[in-house]
Amino acid sequence: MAEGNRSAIINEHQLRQIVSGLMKEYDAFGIQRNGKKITLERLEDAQKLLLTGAKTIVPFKKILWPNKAKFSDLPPKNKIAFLGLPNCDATALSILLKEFEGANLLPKRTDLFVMTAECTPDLSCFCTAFGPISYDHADLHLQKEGKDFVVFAFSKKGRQILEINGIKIRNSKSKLKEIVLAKEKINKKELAGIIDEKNQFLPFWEKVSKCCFGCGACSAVCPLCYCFKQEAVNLSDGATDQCINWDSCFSKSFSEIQHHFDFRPKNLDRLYNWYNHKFNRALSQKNHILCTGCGRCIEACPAHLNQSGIIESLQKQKEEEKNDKA
Amino acid sequence: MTKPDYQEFEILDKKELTFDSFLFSLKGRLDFKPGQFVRAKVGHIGEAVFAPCSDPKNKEKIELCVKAVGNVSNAISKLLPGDFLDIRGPYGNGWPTKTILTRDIVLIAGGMGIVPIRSLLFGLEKKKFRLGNIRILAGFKTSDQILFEEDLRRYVKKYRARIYAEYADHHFWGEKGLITGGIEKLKISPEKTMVFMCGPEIMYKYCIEALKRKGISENQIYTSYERRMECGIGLCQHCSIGKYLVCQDGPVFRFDKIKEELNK
Repeated sequence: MAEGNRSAIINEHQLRQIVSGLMKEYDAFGIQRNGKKITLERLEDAQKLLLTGAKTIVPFKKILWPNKAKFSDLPPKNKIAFLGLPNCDATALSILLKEFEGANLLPKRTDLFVMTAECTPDLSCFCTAFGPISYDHADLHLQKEGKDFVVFAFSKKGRQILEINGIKIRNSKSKLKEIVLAKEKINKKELAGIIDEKNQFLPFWEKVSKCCFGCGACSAVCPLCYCFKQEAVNLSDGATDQCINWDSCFSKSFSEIQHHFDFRPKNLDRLYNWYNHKFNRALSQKNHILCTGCGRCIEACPAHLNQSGIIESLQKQKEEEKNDKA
Repeated sequence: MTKPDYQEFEILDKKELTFDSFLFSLKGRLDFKPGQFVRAKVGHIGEAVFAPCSDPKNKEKIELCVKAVGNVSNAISKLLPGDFLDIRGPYGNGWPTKTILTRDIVLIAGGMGIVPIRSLLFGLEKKKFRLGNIRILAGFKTSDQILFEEDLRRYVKKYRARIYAEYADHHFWGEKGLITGGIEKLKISPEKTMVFMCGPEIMYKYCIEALKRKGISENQIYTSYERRMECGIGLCQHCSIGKYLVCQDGPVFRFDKIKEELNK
């Protein structure tokens, strides 16, 4: 169990007061119940914020970068606060900002405020598969304790917000709760190596790709799928601006170039590319994988593919191969 | 890698090279290396990839060869001298020119592939005294699609370049056939030869087979994949080839390094 560095115990009233304060300073987006669905939307009322660390269908990415966002409108001009996110989303946000470092398309971390809330993992979650979880991607983290909350401050910004609201933080005895999931541990480097050996595991990829519809739902909901295409948008004054629009590596237009030459014509190649980018290319180029184990892809897949199961089986196949050789 | 930043160039001159290809001369300077590429934007339509084909040392103008095949290239083809074109770049790493000194070099261009080879040749022609033999093979689908005819005729005289057209009319001054035929006829010492290739990817396959029969190994062959390029800033992932991104790690790759990645 990890020791919470600086924390305080606050009641719900104090918490709503902090949220109201953040709403004044930032463009605040919070997890809210919207009919039967749970969504991440602009927060109009502090009372509406859900503090259960619930997972939304579409993650934060479309707020940072809306559909058909003009280059001139990026990065967003206002400071943004994401409130009530599960920890996996805060981790994904850090990775996404690192991927776009220096590109001047996404906001700087200093212009963002992230408050996470203790989550209740569901059947599709596999965040613990890649190793111990770190909570410090958020500025504040909330943990339920009876009727009250323990609030952990992981950044100067987080501490300041608490101080402004008259909450004293100290080195308390409260500990960060550990997430326990019955999931196989996955060695990132080993997995990258296995994915790199495409030909060796070709029957496996063929089998998976036959089940995959190639719809791209997994990439639409993944907080770390950020493939985009550039388009021209017409402005009212007759001029044009370039915009970036969301794309999916599963779409035909993604890999099609001049004269309709498609360099990934088969669904097998597209599906493989999805895994290869997330677990191999990103690791070799930026030293992180593009997956936090949120499990949205599993929930969204209409073919009922289990992405965490797929990488687990790849790892098992490799082990079996090793044992056979031995 | 940063958000695209455009530079405006005035079109000085427009020359018709074939029925669908135009050579635009743009006023201004662009620091580029042969083999690098730029993105040219045209309002209301979008942008596309082009490789500058002029002498990189020319400080007065740059030249872009545009073949009207898609939305953007068709729109650019309609521009006239006096109009402006927004360009960003250059991107990529270009041809590995430092590695070719004192070696024989074979340049193979298929169709529009002649474009980045032309800008490379401007430099090579000047450095000729430090190089081995330069051999050029250029192939086109039909004889009326031949680009830079003047330059090609000069290369034929100077370097005994072989120009091929798969389908040719009786006016054609080159050879009728496929570029692979030219590879078979090459007289080279395989151990001290390097090959730079640019063209459609299907051409690479057959040319590499022919080059191997000549005793050239894969680590002596460099191929360009600029056709796959999209954003140019290493983010959009359109140009990924296995673990590489064409806009960051390419567009020119040594074939033995990229071979395994091509089917990923």
